[in-house]
Amino acid sequence: MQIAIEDRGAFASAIIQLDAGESFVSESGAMYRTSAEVDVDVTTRSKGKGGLFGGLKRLLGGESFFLSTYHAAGGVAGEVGIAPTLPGDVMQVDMDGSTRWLCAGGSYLGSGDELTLDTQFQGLRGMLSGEKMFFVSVEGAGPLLVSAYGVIREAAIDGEVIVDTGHVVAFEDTLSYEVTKAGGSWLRSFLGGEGLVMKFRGSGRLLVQSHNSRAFGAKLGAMLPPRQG
Amino acid sequence: MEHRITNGPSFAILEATLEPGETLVSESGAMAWKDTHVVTETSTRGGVLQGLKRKLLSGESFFQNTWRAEGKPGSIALAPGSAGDIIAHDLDGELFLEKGAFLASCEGVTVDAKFDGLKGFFNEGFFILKCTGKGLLFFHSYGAIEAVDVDGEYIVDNGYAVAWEPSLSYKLTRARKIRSFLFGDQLILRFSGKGRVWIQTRSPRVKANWVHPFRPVQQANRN
Repeated sequence: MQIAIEDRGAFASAIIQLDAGESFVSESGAMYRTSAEVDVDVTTRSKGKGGLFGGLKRLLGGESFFLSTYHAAGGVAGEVGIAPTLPGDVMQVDMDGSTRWLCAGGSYLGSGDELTLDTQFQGLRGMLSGEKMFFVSVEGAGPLLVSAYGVIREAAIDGEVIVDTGHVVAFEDTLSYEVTKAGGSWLRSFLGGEGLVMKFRGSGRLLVQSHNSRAFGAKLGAMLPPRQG
Repeated sequence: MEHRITNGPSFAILEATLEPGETLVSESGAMAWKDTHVVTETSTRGGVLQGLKRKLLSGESFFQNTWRAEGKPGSIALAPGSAGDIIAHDLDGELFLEKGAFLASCEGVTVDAKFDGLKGFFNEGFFILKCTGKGLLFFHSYGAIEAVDVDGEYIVDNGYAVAWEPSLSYKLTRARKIRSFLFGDQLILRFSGKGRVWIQTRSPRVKANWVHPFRPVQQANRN
């Protein structure tokens, strides 16, 4: 399997070359082109656990998270192109199996099918934040693709760092985190428009994005006529 | 005519310098800036009927502008409505464009709308533009453009193919191999034969779907 990330920057996409018999998994709907030999299967299934229940769990997590599996069938190689919905960058993380990665809400784009996917719903902590505190947890050794709204910056954390909830792309689970307020008091924090932030602790890799898609959506939505509820 | 495409693939614009008397045809509304002696005649190229057909069938603009440099060389910049890339294609024969992808052409290129839907796919509005003639043709995308040389069969998600050569046969079809209880109706473009297809890396429709949940919700009528 070879992965090439094309058009880095505003409109990045990933082209995955599959050898015969290989498979790749992505968020459903991300596929925009494929050679005819590739078999596409849309399921709610993740490797290991999953099935329909897994899909429902993902729906409850606030995201219709269904997966497409691309399989180079019939003993021939093939290619598949996947792209995120929003403008922005795509990045490959080569997981070595020593740590788990957590991808924020819409940041998970795809992964080798040898990786195990699960969802983590942030429950009360998530509800409080008002953000989709829904993580895709990725485990194993293999390639992981994440997408961002804007550019991706990587920070190697050793100690503590604070990131706005809307700017988190993905992080290693060797980092612990808590959702907390940005300012000195809750009131000041909300009035200042910073809302909630994630405070990371420990040592590990953290990917952040330059722009907050939720903020952009809110801006656009306010300019559009109301929809039927 | 000299031309250059700058700021691609994210925010491409086309800058052209016309020789005296030389013309360039553009989609109406695409002009961003120009010299004062580059003048226009807005017309329904090919007559009103042709123009109406383009508008109604393909979502392409009814009017196309013809720009002419009067007396001396003049510059004009054209910018598409969406952020993305522009491809300059040296047309000699035919090329198919996804509706809305036409940006500009030199005279000698004609643009016509063509319906190629299958029965039952009317709602999907599978109308395309057929460009014929000889000369430079400029088309644009939302997102970056990738050129794929097909030899055999290739599948592109509906709404992502920007342009393709007539040597390819194409078919809008339900995704046969895409098995799903959710997306049974997913439409794809299936190309076969030998030729080049240009594919954009983002879809305006998918983006619109993404924005939709952010719209305010209409309050119930209280009467």
